[in-house]
Amino acid sequence: MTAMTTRPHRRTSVRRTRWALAAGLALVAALAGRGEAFAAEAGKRTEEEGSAPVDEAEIARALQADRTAGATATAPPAVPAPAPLPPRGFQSLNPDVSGIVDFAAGWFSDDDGTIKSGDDPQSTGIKVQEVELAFQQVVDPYFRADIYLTIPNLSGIEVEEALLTTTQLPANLQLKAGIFRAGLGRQNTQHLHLQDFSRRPALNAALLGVDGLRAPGFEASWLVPGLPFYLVLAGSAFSVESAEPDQPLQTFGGGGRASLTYVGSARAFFPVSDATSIYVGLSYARGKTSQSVSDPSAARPVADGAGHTLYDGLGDNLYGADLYVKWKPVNQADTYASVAWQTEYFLRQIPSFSLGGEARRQTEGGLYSQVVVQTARRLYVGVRGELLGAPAGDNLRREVAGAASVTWALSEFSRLRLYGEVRRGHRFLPLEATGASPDRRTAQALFLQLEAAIGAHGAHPF
Amino acid sequence: MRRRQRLVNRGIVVGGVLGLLVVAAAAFAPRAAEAKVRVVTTIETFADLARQVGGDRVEARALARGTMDPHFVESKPNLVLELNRADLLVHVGLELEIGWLPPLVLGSRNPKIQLGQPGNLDASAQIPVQDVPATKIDRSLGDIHPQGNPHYWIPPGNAGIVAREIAERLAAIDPAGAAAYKANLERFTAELGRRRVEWEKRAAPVRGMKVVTYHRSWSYVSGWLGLQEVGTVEPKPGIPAPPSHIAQLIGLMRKDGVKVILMESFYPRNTVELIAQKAGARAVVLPSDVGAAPGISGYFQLVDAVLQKLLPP
Repeated sequence: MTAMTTRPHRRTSVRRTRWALAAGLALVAALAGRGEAFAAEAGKRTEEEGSAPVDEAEIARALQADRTAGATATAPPAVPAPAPLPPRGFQSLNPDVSGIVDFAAGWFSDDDGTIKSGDDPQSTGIKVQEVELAFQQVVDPYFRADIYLTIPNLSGIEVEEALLTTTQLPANLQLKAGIFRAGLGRQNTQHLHLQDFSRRPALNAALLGVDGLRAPGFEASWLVPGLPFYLVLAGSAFSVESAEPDQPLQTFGGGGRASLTYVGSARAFFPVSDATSIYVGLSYARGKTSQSVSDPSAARPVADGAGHTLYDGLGDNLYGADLYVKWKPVNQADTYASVAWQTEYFLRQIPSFSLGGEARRQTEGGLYSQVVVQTARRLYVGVRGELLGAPAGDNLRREVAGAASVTWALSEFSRLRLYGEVRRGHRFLPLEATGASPDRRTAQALFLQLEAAIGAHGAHPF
Repeated sequence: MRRRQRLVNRGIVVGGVLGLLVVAAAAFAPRAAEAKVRVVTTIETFADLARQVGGDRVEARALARGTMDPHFVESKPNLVLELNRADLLVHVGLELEIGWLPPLVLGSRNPKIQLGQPGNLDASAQIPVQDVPATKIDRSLGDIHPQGNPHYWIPPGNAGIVAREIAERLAAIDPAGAAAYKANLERFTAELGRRRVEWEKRAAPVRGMKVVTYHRSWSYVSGWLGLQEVGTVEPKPGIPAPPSHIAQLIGLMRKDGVKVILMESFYPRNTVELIAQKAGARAVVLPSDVGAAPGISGYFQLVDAVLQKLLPP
């Protein structure tokens, strides 16, 4: 048993070191490449400076030139002279503050029938699905800060994200630090109010936990220069919280406090035409699984008395691919119509573990695909299909879901949405490895959602 | 052991791919700063002004096309590439681009054009701004601009101010070209002065003409040419007109004898044409930016086209 538990650890650390080395080498190579360019640039600059040394007389001439430039500009009647203007409104160094509320009223045929994200309506009734408060501001010449506090389903305040982003790093690099949503696919990075449906697809909650992959960490990203298209490579490390008891197997967060989760991603953008854009992402993450039960005596198989299951703490990989295709003519006078198609696939692989003395490996995955059509200036119609358990495994059973939404945007700042879904699959039961086949059942949901934003909320990336 | 070998192989493949990317990037990367100052502007008019005062020392490109509504440009990542290579970003300011420009600037990873840097020019800095709210505002008034009306670039006085701002900033960024920028600015300003006289003479017949506009985006042009704005098709900025407002507007136009509705090419025309027909007026689709219609290749052509459309046929 001891050998069994230590060997994967050693292998993991060897692999991790190799990864870290590869990443480090790539970074050093990149910096060296840029360094050369800088050196060349600097050399050129020194040459220029050498041929035309700056002296005080020249500065005086320049100052004089500026003065006369101002004077000549005032001479023609066409352009008024630069004059002190009255201040435009009240200047303040307070951050931009905004609040977003999501109310939902509706019905689940089975309140416990599906895996829910933290910001989904949790049960039948009238719900305050989420209240988000955002504070955004440039910190100093080196950082900007974005703080998003959220109260999902009136369950207490959480820090959805609080991060610093660098603004002055050279060589096309950018660092992020704080707690933030990992750049793992598309939906994982987005807040509730960017969703086109009242509920997120179940994929991220089923694999990564109720809030997706959101944890304290840091990220380094690099905009690859010189390519004819946009390509950003990013690598990050997170300390992921372990799973709440009795939840589906969480892909990351196990292995103790010192165990980190690593995420790497590549995102590329192709503007096929003025109207059509393709945005693709590939991501990879590795860490350790996390799962526990509140009542160790009631469930099998449990690894220890503390409630950790046999699936807890296993090294695993997550592979992801996402595709976003959008068609929106640039001139709205012709049409307000637009179409956005978004698809994501995740595959979780636990390369090797032992269950009941038997060596096993497990591969589980799922996907969703959605199309949102803008049919009029303020009207959006969306359909979404989900397939969980493709392939299926002990911790991710087959589930098929279909959803539709109609969104009426009253203005840029408020919208009303009708959402319905049908879901058929094996009801989630923790620890189904005993072989007992769980029920297959169908569940429906219908919700009316009202969303509103106040204050100055920062613009979102594409 | 075989698995271990496979992992090693995978590591080699991934490392190789990363290495290739780095090599490719290094090979394609511009070796050193090119001679030209790269100016990126949000609207095409500013790109033309930058070319006028920058001459052959600059290369200017706009993020938005003249046919687009500058409030609602999509922040597509390919625009990040443009900004990544920019030495100077010129934007309209007054929160016109607030819905799309900030994430692009942050994503550009270009220290030169971040807020507060010399390479970030808010062109509204010296503009005598109109429609600055004097009382407490909120969004019950629609999607308003709290710092004032940002649609200021068409009147020659304002275009001259922007040109001067760009020239001064170019001189700060590229001191070796200061004399050239100054000379170009003088030439442009002189030409602008000449054309302004001519434009104002041409536009004399429309002085005092009553107009209705789609959005409050013609205030500066109206101020310059002496048009009298009596109403807007949008009851509030960004809010589509309800039937009651349209009926009221038609009544007002009939009573006041308003014969012209001004609108940009990027607004839908059905409602405006209905109003025009009911009120016995004509809908005039005015270009609001360089590139808004074929043949409008620069600022001078833009003003020419505005006047040509505005004058009675």
